[in-house]
Formats: sequence, C-alpha cells, structure tokens
Amino acid sequence: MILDEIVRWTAKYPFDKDSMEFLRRISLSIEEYTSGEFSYMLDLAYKRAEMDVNGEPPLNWDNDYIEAIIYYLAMLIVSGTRNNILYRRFSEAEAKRVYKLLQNDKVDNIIRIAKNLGIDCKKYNENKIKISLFHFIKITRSLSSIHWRLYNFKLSKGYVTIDKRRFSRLVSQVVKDNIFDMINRIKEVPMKIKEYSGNLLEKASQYIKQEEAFAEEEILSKKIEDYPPCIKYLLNNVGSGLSHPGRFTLVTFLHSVGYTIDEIVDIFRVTPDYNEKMTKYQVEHILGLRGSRIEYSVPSCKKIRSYGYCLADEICKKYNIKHPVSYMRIQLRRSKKK
Amino acid sequence: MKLRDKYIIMSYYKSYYHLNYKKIYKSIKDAESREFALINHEGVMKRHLAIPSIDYFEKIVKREEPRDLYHSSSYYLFPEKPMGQKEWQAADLIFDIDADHIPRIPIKKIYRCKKCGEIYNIMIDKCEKCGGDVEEVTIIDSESLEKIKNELYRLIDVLNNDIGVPIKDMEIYFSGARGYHIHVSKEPYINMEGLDRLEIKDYITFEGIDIKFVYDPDSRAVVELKKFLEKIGPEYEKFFSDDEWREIQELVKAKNKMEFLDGIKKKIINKRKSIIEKINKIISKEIGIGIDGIVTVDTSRLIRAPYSIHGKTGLIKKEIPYEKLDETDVIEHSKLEEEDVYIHVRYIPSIVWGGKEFSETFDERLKLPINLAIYLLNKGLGYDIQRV
Repeated sequence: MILDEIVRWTAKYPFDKDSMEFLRRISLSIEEYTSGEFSYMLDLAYKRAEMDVNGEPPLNWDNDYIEAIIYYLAMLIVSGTRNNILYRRFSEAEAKRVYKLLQNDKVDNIIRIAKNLGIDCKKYNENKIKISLFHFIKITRSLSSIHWRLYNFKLSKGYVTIDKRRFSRLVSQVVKDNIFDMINRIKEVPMKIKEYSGNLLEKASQYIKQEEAFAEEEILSKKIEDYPPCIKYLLNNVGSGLSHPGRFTLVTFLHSVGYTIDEIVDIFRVTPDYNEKMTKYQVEHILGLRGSRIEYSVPSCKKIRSYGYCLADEICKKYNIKHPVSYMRIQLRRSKKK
Repeated sequence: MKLRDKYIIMSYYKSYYHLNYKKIYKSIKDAESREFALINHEGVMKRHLAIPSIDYFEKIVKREEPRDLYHSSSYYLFPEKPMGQKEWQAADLIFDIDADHIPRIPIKKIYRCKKCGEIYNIMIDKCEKCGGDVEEVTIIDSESLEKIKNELYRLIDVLNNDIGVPIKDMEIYFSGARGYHIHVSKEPYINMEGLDRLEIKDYITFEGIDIKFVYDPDSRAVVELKKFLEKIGPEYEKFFSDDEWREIQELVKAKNKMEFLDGIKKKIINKRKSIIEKINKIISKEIGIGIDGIVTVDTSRLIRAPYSIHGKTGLIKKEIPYEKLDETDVIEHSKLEEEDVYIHVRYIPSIVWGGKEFSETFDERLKLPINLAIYLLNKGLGYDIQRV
C-alpha cells in the first residue's frame, strides 16, 4: 500500500490491526503530545471525545495524518474518566462512525476490516457478503432484534448471505465491543490527559445523570394488563401447574414489579399440588433469601423464548423488546401519556 | 400388566442388555465424560452416574436391570457431581423428530381403558364397561415410520445444505418409538451454547417467524412458502377464504421471489393483516420441520443411549447409515432375532410390521414376531405371551 493510502486507511479505521501496526511505527511518545509542539492535538482529541459522548461522532476531518493519533488520545481522555457510561457512549459513537464509513466503502475493504477482527466471512458479489453462521449468531445475540433472526436470511452451507449495509452494521457492533474493551484495559493515564478527562466528566454530567436515572426508573405496577404477554400467559396457567423455568420467570418478574413474597406465594395458591410452606421456601430461594443467597434476575426474552413461552405481541415487536422489564418501562410510559 | 408378562419383558430386556452392553458403551463417544441415567422396571430413575469403563458399565447394567438407559448430550469434567458442579465442557447437538410434533403426519391412534383394558376407536370420557379413565395409545408401524422419514429427510437437507453439517457427521437413529434422532458430535457444533442452538432450532422449525421481517427473497422461508402455495390446490380451503385465496394466487404469479415477497409485505399496507397472519402460520406449522425444540436447545439433556431398548415400546434405538436410510425398513432393522411367540391380542389395527402385514384383529390368540408381541404388551394391547 502506498503511504497516502495507508494514512487514509488509518484515519478512517484507527482501531484496525493494520492501522495499529502503522501507527506503532510513526507515532511519537506520549510526552510529546502532552507537552511541546504537538500538544494542540490534545485539544482536538478532547473535541472528538466530546462529540462522541454527545452521540455525534465526527465524520469529516482535514488531516489524515493526525486524525488517527487524535482518536487514540481521545480514547485515553475517556479512559481517564473511569466512568463506564462514558466508555460506552464513546465506543457506541465511534462504532456509529465506522458503520457510516464502511457502508460507503468497497466490499473488499469491509471484508479486510472484518477479517482483521476475526470474523469468518467472504465476498459474494460487489454488494453482498457471506458470513459464518456461528459469527452471525454470536454478533446478533446482543442485537437480539426480530430483524436479525436467522430465518430472515438466506443460509447456505453454514454461511449467511447479507448485504453491505447489514454486514457493516455487524462489523461495527464488533468494533464497539473492541473499543470498549480497549478503553477498559488502559490502566494508567498521564496527569496532563487526566485534566482533560476531568473536564469531559463535568461536561457530560447530564448524560451520566440521565442514564443513571433511567436504570433506576420505577417499573412498579400490579395491573396485569401492563404485563408482557409471556407473563400474562404464565399467570393464566398457574392453575394448571407451571414448569420450573415458568415458575422462576413469574416469581422474579412479580418481585421486580413490586410484589411482596406473601403476595407471590398467594398467586401460587391455585396450583394443583399447592403446599404453602414449600412454595414460600422456593420463592424465597429464587429471591435470594435462602440457600445460595443469589438473587436471580428476570430472564431475558431470549431465555424465555428458549423456555418456549414467548408470545411476542405488537409492542414486543415494535419496540424490539429484549427483556420483560423493558416492556414494563414502555408500557408505563405509554399509559402515562394517555 | 400381568405379572407373568411383566416378568417376560424384564427377562427379554435383561438378556438384551447382557448381550449388548459392550456395543452400547462403545457407541457413546467419550462415554467416560458423560452423565448416565437409567430407569428400572419400577419406574425409578437413577442419574448422575459416571461410568469410566466398560467393565463398570457391565456391572451397573447387570446390577440395576434397566428398563431405559440414557446418557447426557453433554461432556463434563465431573459427570457424577450434582448439576451445578459438573463443569460442562461441550454437548452433542441433537435433533429429535417425533410424530407428536408433526400433526400433519397421521398416526394410528386408539383409546384404551386404563382400568379394564377395553379398546375404543374414538375418544370417550369414561369407559362404557367399567367407568374407568380412557387413555390415548399411538401405534407406529413400518408405514408410519416411512412417512416420518420424509420429515427426517427434510431435516437432513436443512442441516446439510443450510447449516452446513456434513452428512458424514450426522449419526441418524431410529428413536425406538415414534421417530428419529440425529446426533452431531463434532466440532464446532458441540461447542455451541444454548442460546446459539436456539437460533438454529428456530431456523429449522420457523417458530415465531414473521414474514414482515424476512429480508431475503432467497431465504428458505420464502422459497418454501412459494412452493407450498404453488402446489396447494383445492386444499387452500384449509387455510384461506375464497377472497384471500384470489389475492394469494395473484401473489404466486409474481415474476420472481423478490416481487412475491414484496407483494406479501404490501398486504400490511393494504390492511390485509389476516393474510399475513395466516401466511406466518403456514410457514411455522406446515413448512417448519417438526422437531422437539427443547432437545436441541437444552445443553445438558439426557438422551436415550444408542442401541438401548426404548422401555415403553421394546424397540431398539439403532443407528441407520445415511446411504441405507432410503431402503431400510426401520422395524425390520431394529429387530433382535427371528422368533415368533403366542400372545392374546386385545386389539391391533391393520399394520405393516417389518415387511409383514397384519389385519385388524380383536380378541384373538395369535402367533406374532416377538418384538411386535412385546410392543403390544407394552402398549396394553395384549397379554399372556408365550414362547413357542
């Protein structure tokens, strides 16, 4: 590759293995970026980190030569915040940037990035790529949207055929995880950079507060009509006896929406072989008050699907629900609006 | 069951296991890292058994006199420990085709009083003779197993052409009852986690599919749906109203699969949601393959051991080489020995059993192949077995 090309490549895809190889050869020591004639690059890096955290990754740049260095400096700044929410926002935004760039790139280039990330794939034609079934399943697991179900695609001899855009989406998903892990692995950040991290943390405080609030948002409700279809189904069938995973799902869910242990035990009163003491013991066990003392959480939609009683309704599909608790959030927000 | 009959079954099983324990143990890959389980003739299950050698297996089999014998699909570091401490390493990828999961394949069913053994052709609430509870009894024969074979071929086809499992890596078995098992015990399949297997299972069964989200017109769902609708003929009435059928016929005429799929999706915009729902149902119920999903998804499942007896039928779970699958009469293939016995038959419908035809019979003493006689005993359809 001629120099201009590799520099261009590095600017576009700084996380790539080939880019890192190149950067290792040309980059200066960290001190030269924190003081001296190249320290203006730290300001540029701060700007990139800030844009990323705001969810608006930079898609245009002037100078290929410094763009990749700025990316790594920005990463150091984010790492210096020691804040997981910012790690995530940064890696998500950078992945979004990669997604946009990849879509407009040639299939061969997308495949090069993917292969460097360890994805088993091959070119199908100028617009389509074949990706190994195993990698497809692994990557889409975290997307877990109904759009990404295996049966929506063409599958042949263990490879899924997908178009450039969708493939870019998958690659960017892996990039996101890689960036997150990389930031997470950085142990020590130079003092000078930590100052920038401090500023970023202050600037981003609104996002941090918002996300923390979201995580703690109350989802309490005892109205059955608010519950996801799987839970409604379980509640309707308590009387005919539930399987172990069924009972488990119901108990953890009811607890998460505010039922007390006694109230939960009461619901099981209609089971054919009801035994109050035993039921109470089991409920307490699941909720971590007995035995192993692990408080189990509500299983994800995927787990529930594997138990065989996912009955996804329109809300599940429309909002791409991945967890019964998210369903509750949506439902409660909808009912507040009414 | 009469005590004498029960005793004959027990000795039949016992001598089988005494003669075949080596074959069973050797056919289980890495048997020493599996959990074993067995059910005895009282119906009591023993599990979490680790069997590190063929000699120990011999001892267990001779001591416990199993009715049914199972091993875990999984490989463990400590197979003998309780569930949470076994240290899961990997698990065979297993598919279970069972007539129960394929309602479109008809199987002979009769109804039998649990108390007095009276037989009925139709389901009734209580026995007309004694008022006892009535249970459903399914009866397989060579013919019905042949029909289920079609479903097995469809499964093999999807596993090979779509999933990419080489034919030589599929061990195909008659399950000993109403269908077939496929075991895949090769990498990378054995390393798949449960949630990965779920995706494969749903791909095979089309459970939960929604055509609105199917993206590729060359996907199996679309290709098979088009074929299904093209050759459905007058049977459309089972699925669609006349109005709907006219719309469907327009769709099927589409130039290519892309146009076909787009046409279906447009039905949503045109407020013909009911058509979409019916199509979804056709894909999952008629086109999806009838496997018992949990067997595939569960990565620590107990599965009937190859070459063991299915305790409730008396038939052997036996491997059928792919090259011979087509020509194999499954019942004949799993036969132990040429021996006829006398048995008093309460009832058999007309069946084909390993190349021989038997006409419908009520209450008669017959000379039958021993495996059929044992089958009838197990199903409660005969009694007083006697060696010739």
